[in-house]
Amino acid sequence: MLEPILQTLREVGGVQGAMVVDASAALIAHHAHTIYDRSVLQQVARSIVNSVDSAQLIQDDWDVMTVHFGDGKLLLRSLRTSGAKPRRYVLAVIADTTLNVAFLGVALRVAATKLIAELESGPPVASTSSAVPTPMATGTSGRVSAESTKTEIAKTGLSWSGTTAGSGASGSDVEVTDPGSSTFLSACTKALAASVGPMAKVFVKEAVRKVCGDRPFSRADVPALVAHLSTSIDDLDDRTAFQRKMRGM
Amino acid sequence: MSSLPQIARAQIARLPEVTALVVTDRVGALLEYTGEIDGEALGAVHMVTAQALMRCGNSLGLGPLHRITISSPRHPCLIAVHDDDVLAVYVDPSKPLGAFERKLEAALRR
Repeated sequence: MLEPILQTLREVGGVQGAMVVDASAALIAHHAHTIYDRSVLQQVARSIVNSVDSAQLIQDDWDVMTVHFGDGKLLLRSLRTSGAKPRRYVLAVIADTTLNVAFLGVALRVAATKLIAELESGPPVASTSSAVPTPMATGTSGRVSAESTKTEIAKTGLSWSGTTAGSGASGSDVEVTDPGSSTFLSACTKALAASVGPMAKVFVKEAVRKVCGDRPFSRADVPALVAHLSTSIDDLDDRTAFQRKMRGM
Repeated sequence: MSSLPQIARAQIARLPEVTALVVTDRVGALLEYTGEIDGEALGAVHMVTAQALMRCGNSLGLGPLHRITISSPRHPCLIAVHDDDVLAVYVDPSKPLGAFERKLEAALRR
């Protein structure tokens, strides 16, 4: 039972509610003040998953997100189950301005451990996410020097000019087989940016990762990549223009 | 025009904990960045994260978004909203994030 665990979080001063959300934004469990009914929490769950999905493009090892608003706080804790079918969940805690974040941190850690145990032992929960889970980050082991951090962020800098395998924070580096493939990806990003703006580079990176997996991108992957990227363009005219531009390359 | 790009360049980028930073406007356009990063792409990602969390705040009645702290063993990051612009600062993971948060707040308050 997840609700009793969420109830213990509500006993911390300032906490107004807590919920567990899966990667498809389904509300798995919640325990909140009556002003936060299920429809509100469901709406919030979708925004939480959107925020986490985008943050994970850069920091797929994130542990806790503390969000400070003018009139309260929202804490998101990453929950990753292990086993044959690892899954990702987010524990969200809604709090007012009186919350002591350090105090909640202890309760959050305890609750996360119990929730993961429950989620691992319980029946499988429907999830449409294709995200590949990573081991739970403890945040206490292995310190990284500033220099290596700079290098890793550089690798995370969403650039495919390098030919090293992805080992950055998001694992989002793209390996290419030849300079021509790299030139194609740059041109492809430029064409996509006309429709989706500066997120184009991120979309291209994600699409390459989905199409190629761990192997380097080559010109043979172009049709699959273009088909994949086309789905990210909502406007039909823009999509047709993008496909036409890609065919001409 | 927001003073955030100037504050970021002149004050925040010089703090010893900072490994990289990026400033974007309310629509995700790049205003300033330092460090070995792709400022345009990372700035856009941070803006999308911030906008999704702003929607959370609106739905929950928590008021305007001020700051996001992302704890991560390798890439801790602070995202602050200032005059509608968004600043994301990457911090050396070997340095205490809480202490840096206070420094950042002080720099933005000036």
